[in-house]
Amino acid sequence: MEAHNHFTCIAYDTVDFLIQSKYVLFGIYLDVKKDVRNIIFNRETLPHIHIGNLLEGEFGCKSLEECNVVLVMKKKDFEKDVQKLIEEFTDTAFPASGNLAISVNSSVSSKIIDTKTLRLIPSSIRERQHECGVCAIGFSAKKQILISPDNLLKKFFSVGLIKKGGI
Amino acid sequence: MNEDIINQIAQESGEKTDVIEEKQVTTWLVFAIGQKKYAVRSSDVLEIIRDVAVYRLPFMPGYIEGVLNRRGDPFTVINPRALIGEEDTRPPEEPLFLILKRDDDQLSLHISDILFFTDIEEGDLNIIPGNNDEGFFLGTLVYSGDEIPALNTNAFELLIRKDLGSA
Repeated sequence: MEAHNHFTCIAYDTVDFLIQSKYVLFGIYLDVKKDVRNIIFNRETLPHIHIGNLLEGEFGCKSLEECNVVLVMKKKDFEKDVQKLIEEFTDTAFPASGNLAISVNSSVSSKIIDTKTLRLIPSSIRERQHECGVCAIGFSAKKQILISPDNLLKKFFSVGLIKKGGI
Repeated sequence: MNEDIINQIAQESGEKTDVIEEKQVTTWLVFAIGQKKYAVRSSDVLEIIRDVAVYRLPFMPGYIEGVLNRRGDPFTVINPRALIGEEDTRPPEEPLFLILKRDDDQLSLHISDILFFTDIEEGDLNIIPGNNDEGFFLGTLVYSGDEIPALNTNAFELLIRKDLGSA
């Protein structure tokens, strides 16, 4: 139960994106280019997708500082079809560990947040927002959006925001 | 025991109700969107909120601006201009919102100004013939020589659910 209160927080100017910490193995400041399709981490080659500029564009927010943070996640937390899309897009097979890398262009921290401060999305738009990876929203000092990276990536792929030849 | 008098009281109450129904008066809230006047039943409005930010959500139809924060709860913000046939479909500039009273959804309309409340007998609403629940207009009401379109607040939720395929 307590684990649900631990979040990895990706901070942009008007919004903090929250990912449940149990889905994030590591968050590392790494100077990698946005368009690099794979990175070396722990002697493994991980598929890599940069989503920072997509978060900025789709949610109307801006990076707080110029940095690049790589979040290492497990492929098992992504649906099979998303795993396949990731491999195809990055031209990189998942390593033995099953890890992958998603990077953002803003600072990341670990936060403990009371889930009581989060609210479900209004019912008529909830289903669509869940499909897009937006699961809940909170209005503490700053807007917080609980995201599901697998659904978010799936949506970015399906609408062509992530595609070969340009992200 | 007492059946006769209970029946009599019930009958009298019924008669009184009938009389009230014949002269049913509805309170309408008249407001502006841009320069045009519109009305909604005041019973369809939970609250009027001013000076709150609208937070954009991704992958929404153009008439959904995002969500606003009503004391910690998110309410979908609809730009009615994009739906009711106005030439200028940009959202109103004023940060003023009607929070709609809904059983199972959280909706708000972005408007320009609150004008006045008025009591009008139900029979004085000029209903649009053949209108159904999906139409944005219930009809018109006449006030001081002005014919004011009366909005059907149900239609906004129905449209969202239809467009987004939510049950």
